[in-house]
Amino acid sequence: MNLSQALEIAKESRPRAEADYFDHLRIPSISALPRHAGDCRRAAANLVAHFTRIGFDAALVEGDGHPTVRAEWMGAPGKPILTVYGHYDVQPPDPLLEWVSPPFEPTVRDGAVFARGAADSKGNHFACLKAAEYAMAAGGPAINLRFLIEGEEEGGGSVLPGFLEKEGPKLRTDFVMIGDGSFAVEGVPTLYTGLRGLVYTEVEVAGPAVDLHSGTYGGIAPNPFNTMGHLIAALKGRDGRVNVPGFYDGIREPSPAELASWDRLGITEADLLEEIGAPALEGELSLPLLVRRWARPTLDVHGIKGGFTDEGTKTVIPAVATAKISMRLVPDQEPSHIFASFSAFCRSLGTPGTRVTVRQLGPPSPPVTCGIDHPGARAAAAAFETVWGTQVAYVRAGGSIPVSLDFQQAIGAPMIITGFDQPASGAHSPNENMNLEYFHRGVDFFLHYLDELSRL
Amino acid sequence: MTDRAIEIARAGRPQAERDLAEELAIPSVGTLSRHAADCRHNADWLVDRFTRMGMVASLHEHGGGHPTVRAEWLGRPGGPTLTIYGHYDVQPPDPLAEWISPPFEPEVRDGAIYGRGATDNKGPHLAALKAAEHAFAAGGPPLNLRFLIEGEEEGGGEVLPDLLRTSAAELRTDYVFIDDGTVLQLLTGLRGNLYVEVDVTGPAIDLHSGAFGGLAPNPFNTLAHILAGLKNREGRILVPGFYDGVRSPSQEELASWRSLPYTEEMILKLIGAPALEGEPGYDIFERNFSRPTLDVHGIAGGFTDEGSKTVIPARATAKLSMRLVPDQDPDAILESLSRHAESLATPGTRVTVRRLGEAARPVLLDSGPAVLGAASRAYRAAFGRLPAVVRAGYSIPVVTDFMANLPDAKILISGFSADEDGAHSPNEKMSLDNFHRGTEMVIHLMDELAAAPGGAVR
Repeated sequence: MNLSQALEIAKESRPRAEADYFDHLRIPSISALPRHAGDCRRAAANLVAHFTRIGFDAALVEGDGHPTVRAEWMGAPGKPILTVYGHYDVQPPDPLLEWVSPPFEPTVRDGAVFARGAADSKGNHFACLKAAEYAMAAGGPAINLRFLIEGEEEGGGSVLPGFLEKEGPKLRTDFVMIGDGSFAVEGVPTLYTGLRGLVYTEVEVAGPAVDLHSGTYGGIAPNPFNTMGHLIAALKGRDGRVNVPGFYDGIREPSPAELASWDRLGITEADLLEEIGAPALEGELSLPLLVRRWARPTLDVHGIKGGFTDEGTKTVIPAVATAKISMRLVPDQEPSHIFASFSAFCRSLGTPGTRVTVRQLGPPSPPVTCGIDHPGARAAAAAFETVWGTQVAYVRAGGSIPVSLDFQQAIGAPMIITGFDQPASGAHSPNENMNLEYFHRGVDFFLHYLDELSRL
Repeated sequence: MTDRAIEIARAGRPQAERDLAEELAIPSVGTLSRHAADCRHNADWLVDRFTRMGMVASLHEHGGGHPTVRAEWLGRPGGPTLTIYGHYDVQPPDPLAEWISPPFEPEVRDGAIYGRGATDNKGPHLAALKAAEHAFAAGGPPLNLRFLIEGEEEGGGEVLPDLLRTSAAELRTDYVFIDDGTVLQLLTGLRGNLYVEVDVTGPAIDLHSGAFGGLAPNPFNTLAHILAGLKNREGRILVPGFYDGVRSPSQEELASWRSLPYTEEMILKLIGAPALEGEPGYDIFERNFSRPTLDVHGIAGGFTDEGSKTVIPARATAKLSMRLVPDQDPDAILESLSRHAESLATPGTRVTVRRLGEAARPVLLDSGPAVLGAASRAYRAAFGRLPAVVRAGYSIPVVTDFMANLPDAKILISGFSADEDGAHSPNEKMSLDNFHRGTEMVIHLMDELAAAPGGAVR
């Protein structure tokens, strides 16, 4: 591959790259909603078509869920193999009303494309795909490439993990690049050294067998919503401390080197406040901001279903209240222990007239640590520094990428976890967007990265 | 008149049931603006019924709300006047999935008609309407008769209050029968209601809980602390001053309630919960009739669809209401609740409390022995049993408007709904037996009141 030729092609092809990327964004591949299963398959087929067109050997890996796209080019015998991970599924777009432009009609404003999945992670894997296309056009990549792009990241599926468990040991690869992060700070490319895990649950509080009139039965009947209020209040104190027994057992402190690198990022409370737009930050206030964000576990409520929430008034004592509650975990918390303790604690918080049941949604993702002391990480840092002209930051992520653990277990190759989107990309929020300059620099990074790896 | 009217009523039962099914098919959900036309359709339907039987019927309009149906027959000059109150608006039918037959496609099963509004309040007011119809067919009612059937009971509107305020002189009446109560119960008191939304805002936008969990305020977690801070696990309300002014029932009232045929076991079976809850130190009658409550009705915001979404929601909004008893003051309680809820905010959130609709004040009635006696005899004639004299846990906001604007009228609060009818729940129903006996009760009640001592208001 002629790097400068590939970079030149990339530069000339920007309009076409954006058009293809936007087409990918138009597909509402929401994996968590069964009614969008067909769209997930359409997004997968779209990727297979692109990879096939540029000369890769591409196919769908099927399983019990949305398919994974597997695309390979093994035309550089004797050279390293890089496996790139991404996901084509996206989060549900709610609340719909808050989108300035519709979530599946990509719209460019102020140099950024707004659409669900623009950053998480269609923009990331599409930048790599485009780079692969230009590398092919410029003589072929100087290393071997494999893409595994799944459709179940947001929901925690089994297709890619199943494939990795079965085929992983046979998938020879030298490096794995997980392209599902984002820049930690504006303009500072980022390599991740650890990810929080996730246990996602539904807690159901059931009281009366049917919805009751609150005038007729108020004062006598148990009210699952009132009980739910007490239950959630007891799970985490107003001080941000989680009260689930044993929750903080076994938590590993971040290393002094990590803490020093985080300090250098210069992220202030004012920055974060501006980003989230709240009156104040909360959490375990005695701990530093980034420790709270990356190295401490949390518990958040996502929504509570049941009762009456339409306009106006309805005087009902609802029969059932169901809360979605998740916990972010850090090394070395054990998800199964946490879930067991959480369930038992929730059940103990029922009132006499209610019954509490707890179930897990999707498999838990354990917390992950990712070493950076290997040639694949050093090459990535060099490539980023060339494109962005600045040192990379080494940070942890608050969010989890469950599949990274599957890669570690199944393949065991050195891994880098990174991403190309700007910090305020609004992943999971209304008006998710990707700065197009970041997108195009992502393409350039990947070309430089291929070049760096070829010289190892 | 009475025997002949009863005879006609019995022969007309199949037609009465068809009429009820027809009214129940109208989805007159008063609180949802998309059903405004259905409410008007229901009002027109009633006007047509009253006109056909010979009453003068019209709609009262005010401020764009759902109209009140006013129907009159003043063919007994010098005789007393009875005004019968009901409402044609119904509660929203959610949760829809739990209905066995669709809420607006009435279906008869096991002697009951199922549909939203069957018992609250279409069955009861139609029972009275049919009584009037049969009285006309039997030679005319024995007293002057007026119906006021509003369309805003479930939402707390202003149309009927406006009519009562602006036309009090024309609407002079000796008796008001509030036909929105429980069968075989004469109510002497009603709890009030104060319905609010507690809104908690945090981040300006929904956030990814992985990226921001541990830093960002979460309005749902904060709202849970607020709700837990409003009422403790034992059922005691923690809003400062909430119990100020709560009047204890008299020994006579308590004794009468405790003679009611209700036990904890019966109520448990009725509601199907593992146990009853409520304020410690008070029995079920006090907790239900003379103690105030606080209940959460639902919480909007965040993600509640199937599957998982790892979001820290920007906002959480709870609907909750408080049942009030004499002499609690809704205004003072709203004020104290707002301050208390705001004080429970966390640093990263803002809390606002707003009232939905007008608060209903708690009511104690003095119906007088003549009216209670007339109603008791009418029930005995129609149902073979005497009614109990009790208070109700729920509010009928319009009662305060009647009391304020028609101070001379004797108010009777009763009706034909049974506890197991599921007012406000999925699969709401009305026993057809209660419906038909209700018609007969109203025929007897007209007769009793026409003959009651005390004479007419002139």
